[in-house]
Amino acid sequence: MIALLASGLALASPSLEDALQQAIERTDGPVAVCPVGASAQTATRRLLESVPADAVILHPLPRGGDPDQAMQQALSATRATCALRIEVDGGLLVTPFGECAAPTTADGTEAPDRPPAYLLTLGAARASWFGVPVYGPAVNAGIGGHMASAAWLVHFELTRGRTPEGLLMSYGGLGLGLETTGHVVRVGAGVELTASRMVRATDGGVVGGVGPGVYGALRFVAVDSDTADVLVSLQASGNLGAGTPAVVGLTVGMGN
Amino acid sequence: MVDPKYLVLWTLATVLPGCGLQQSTFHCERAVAHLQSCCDDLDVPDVCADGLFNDAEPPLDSDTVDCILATPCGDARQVCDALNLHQEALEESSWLGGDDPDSGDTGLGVCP
Repeated sequence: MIALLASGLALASPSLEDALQQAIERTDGPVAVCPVGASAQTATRRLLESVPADAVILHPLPRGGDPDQAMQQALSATRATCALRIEVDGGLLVTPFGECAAPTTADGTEAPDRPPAYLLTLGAARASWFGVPVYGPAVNAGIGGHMASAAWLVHFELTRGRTPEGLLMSYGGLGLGLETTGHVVRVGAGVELTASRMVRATDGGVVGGVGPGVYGALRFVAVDSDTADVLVSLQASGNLGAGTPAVVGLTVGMGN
Repeated sequence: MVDPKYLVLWTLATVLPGCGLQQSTFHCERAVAHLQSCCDDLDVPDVCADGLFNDAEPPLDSDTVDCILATPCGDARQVCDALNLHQEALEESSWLGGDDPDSGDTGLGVCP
């Protein structure tokens, strides 16, 4: 809780009115406005004249003490989910706490909205069909969302190739995966619904089946970028049911 | 947002055992593919069972498959002729509604 409260972002004086407006917009209930000291109270009362009375709860705080603890108590006392701490320190400083606190990065700047997680790599794979090696192109792809230090992906993979005798074999999987989002190495794993397919030599027909499968991946970040990382991916997957191709692919592509 | 019913179907599909290609069918097709590269007149659409939802065993046992795969094209004429004859027997059996002409004998004697 303390950490959550402390995640507030200090704003400069000119944006005091903006900060209050944003806090009101981000919060369902009233916003606790907590001026610290007489000077801050004066400035705050003037500001509150321009906002609806039921949108804010004025809760003055004394100087000194632990700011985080004081703001936590202010949130409890006012039953508000958002509070603004207003201080005079060479200028007006506004620090949001609680629900309306902007997410921040490690260096204290406001974190931008994160785009969807994605993965798209192309390369080659070796599939083993009942012990017979089949080499061919491979694609690994996924799209999903970011979490704290990981991402979930709707994962897709496809590879195809020919046996040494010329049989055309295909293997694909669609599933859900969980992958870390490190800057050097990423690890992923998931479950899939897999489909295997063979074009018959005898009559040209297609035979195959579906079944449960799993995949595991080790992805190395070759180029770390804010928007699109270059990944070298080593991925293994397999069908746990009948038809069992085991696939190992080395692919290169983009992700985030 | 994904419709929950599709999520349930997907979960069931990934949890339940799958169905797929039978190993014996796969190797039978490999043997035929190998012979097709040797014999232009090889036409044996029925010599390998479906392999899917089908309990019938392919007519070529694993020893025969291994033998065919090891047979160079120069020596494959006899094997192709034997398979073509077996295909004809399968077709006649199908027309007459009789038993598999080689049921119980999956070696067929096609490979020396």
